[in-house]
Amino acid sequence: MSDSDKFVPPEPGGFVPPEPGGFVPDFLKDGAPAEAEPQGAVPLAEVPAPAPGAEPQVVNTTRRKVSRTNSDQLGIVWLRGTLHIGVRRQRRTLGMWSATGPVRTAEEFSAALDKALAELKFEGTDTFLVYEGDQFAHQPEAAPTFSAGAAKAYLDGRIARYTKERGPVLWVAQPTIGPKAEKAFLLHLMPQAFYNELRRVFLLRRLDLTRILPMVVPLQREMNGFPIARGTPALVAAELGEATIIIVAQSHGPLLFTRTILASLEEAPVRVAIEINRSLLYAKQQFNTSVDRIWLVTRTGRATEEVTAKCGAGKVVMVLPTQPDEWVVNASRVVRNQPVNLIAGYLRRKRHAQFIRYGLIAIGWLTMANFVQHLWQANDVWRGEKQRLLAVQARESDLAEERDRLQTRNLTLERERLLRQHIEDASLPPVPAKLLGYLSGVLPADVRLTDFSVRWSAEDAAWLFQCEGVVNGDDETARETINGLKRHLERSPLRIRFNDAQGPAGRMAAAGFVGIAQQRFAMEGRLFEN
Amino acid sequence: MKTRLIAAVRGAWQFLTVIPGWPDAGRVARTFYVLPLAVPFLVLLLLWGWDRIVRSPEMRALRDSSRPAVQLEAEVDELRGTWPDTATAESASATARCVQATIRNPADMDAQLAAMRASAAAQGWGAVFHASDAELQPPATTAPVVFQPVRGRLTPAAGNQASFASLLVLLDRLIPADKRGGIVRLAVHGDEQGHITAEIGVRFAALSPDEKTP
Repeated sequence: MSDSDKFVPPEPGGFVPPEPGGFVPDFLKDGAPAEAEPQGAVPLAEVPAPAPGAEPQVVNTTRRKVSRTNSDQLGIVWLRGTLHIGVRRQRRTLGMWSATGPVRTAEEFSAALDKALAELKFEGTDTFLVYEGDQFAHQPEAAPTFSAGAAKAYLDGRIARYTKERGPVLWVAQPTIGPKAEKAFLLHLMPQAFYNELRRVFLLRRLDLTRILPMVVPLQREMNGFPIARGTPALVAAELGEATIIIVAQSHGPLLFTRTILASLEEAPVRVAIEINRSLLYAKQQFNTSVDRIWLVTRTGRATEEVTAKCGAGKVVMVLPTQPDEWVVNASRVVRNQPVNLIAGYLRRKRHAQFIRYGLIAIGWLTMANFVQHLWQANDVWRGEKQRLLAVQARESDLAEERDRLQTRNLTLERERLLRQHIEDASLPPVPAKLLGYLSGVLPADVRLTDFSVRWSAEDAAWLFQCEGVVNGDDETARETINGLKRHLERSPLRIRFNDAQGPAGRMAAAGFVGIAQQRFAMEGRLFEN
Repeated sequence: MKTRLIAAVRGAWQFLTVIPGWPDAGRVARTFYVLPLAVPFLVLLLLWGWDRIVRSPEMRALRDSSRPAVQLEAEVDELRGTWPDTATAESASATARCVQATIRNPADMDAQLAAMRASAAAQGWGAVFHASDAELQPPATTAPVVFQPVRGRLTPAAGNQASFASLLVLLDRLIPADKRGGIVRLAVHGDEQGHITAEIGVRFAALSPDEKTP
């Protein structure tokens, strides 16, 4: 426990200050990020660590047989100098290959990859990589808690600062439990230059790198299979080649923190046990979490005693014997859309691109089919129209003759119709006789007509009439009689209208007969009814 | 601008031709890969070009050259539709019947006057009729029919006791039924003894001298 006195906990959201033998962020161990190499400058790789006495083996990287319909996965677990590559088909492992020597650089990696591909005869393209190494940093950050947007802005700011200081970086934020209930994240950072190197290695071999996972992802998945209650905090220490990764997390829950110890659990169990104990103390101090269960994921359980001795009584130390290549199988079981994936955006963009491509293909073929059908129909219509137009052109002279004949015929018919119309219009209805008969029929007994005339006025299109006569009786009686006669005539079907100038009873004058009073009268008017 | 355009085209090419799992594929492989996408659009382009460059001008040229004939055909159809085919014969017979109902010559006029006198005599009236010169209807140049006026005087014959009633009957029957005409003026005068006389104006339809008999 004396070592724990020297333990300096990492500042939330900041860098862990280096300490001899202590926790050192990966990106602080390295200098400037690797410079990007020019495109297409990947040399044919050599196996980096040939066996003593053996000659360097040149592997041809451009002749790999690739089937785009092959759904096999190539799983690559590259952990601190160790490299394990396996081919998985659904739940089966088709082959496994492990590098015999240390693999640290991209050149060594590409040479080892060629060898593995040649041996495994992998024909697919889908590839995932679990990587832990100097080029992959995991940095805890505490973000503002008041909104998700603020937290994202804070992380973006941190990445921008990191980029400014150390160059472009690929990153993904993994939510963790903060020491003081802040919103905390574990930033997984990989220099863009290193990623570009890896990408070129994969592209040259027609491998589609779809996932880059930190070791914490398969480790958490493994931890969720431990026989402990959900939410129980536990510490897992896993051997990563020459280093050891320690994670403290809740079972089926979020991560508290993770550390990488540059000492192997197998080779330096005492030192690792001390770091495990310091991690327990850190969890107790910063997270107020007492971790009682410790799992050692290693090839053998030789560190159990040291860990038990350093961590004190009351801690349950369990060993999960694990061969390094088993991480390939474990990582292949991680869901494809795992959010803690450095190139999740690539997968998303790839899906979008495929969606757009299929959409464009569908639109293109449908539009083409529709257009072809439209042209086909339009062509049918045009063929009919063309035949008709040619036929019309051929009989243009006949049509001209026919037009002249019809014009002549129609003129004749129209003239005849006009003639008939005029002849018909020449007839006049027998209005004079009708009016005379009607008037004689309604004439009162004491009224006698002396003159009656009616004539047709073509200008007025009406019949004008005049009549004169005498009425027996005095002036008043005669006036009433004539007024009654006029009212009767006005209501008749002949629609007679009397001229207004005559007054209501027409012109009345005494006839002058001796003994009998007689009054002369005259009426003028017109008939609107024929 | 040009650089941006080239970059955009290159970007679109990269986007559309990227082979999953083989992003650095060569131009040939990319071309083959993009064929399912490019073929329909190329075919569309070719068909559209053929339609615009070959077919449409041909259609336009033929339509332009046929336009007079088509207009002629439409005109013929319109002329043919104005009157039915059977109208010619029907019109001729109807017109002939109408012409028969007009006064065609002085002899015809004299015959009508004689018929009117006979009709008056049959009703117990004596009649004197005079045919005047034909009067043209306005506008004179286009009217195919003129009116032939007739003036007459009616006096009851001796012994006609029902002069007024017979006058009404006479007025109804005065115009021969097979001729177009009508009474345009009627003046009746009665004296205190009950004797009545009538003056009458009649007009008949007659063909204009310029009108040809159908």
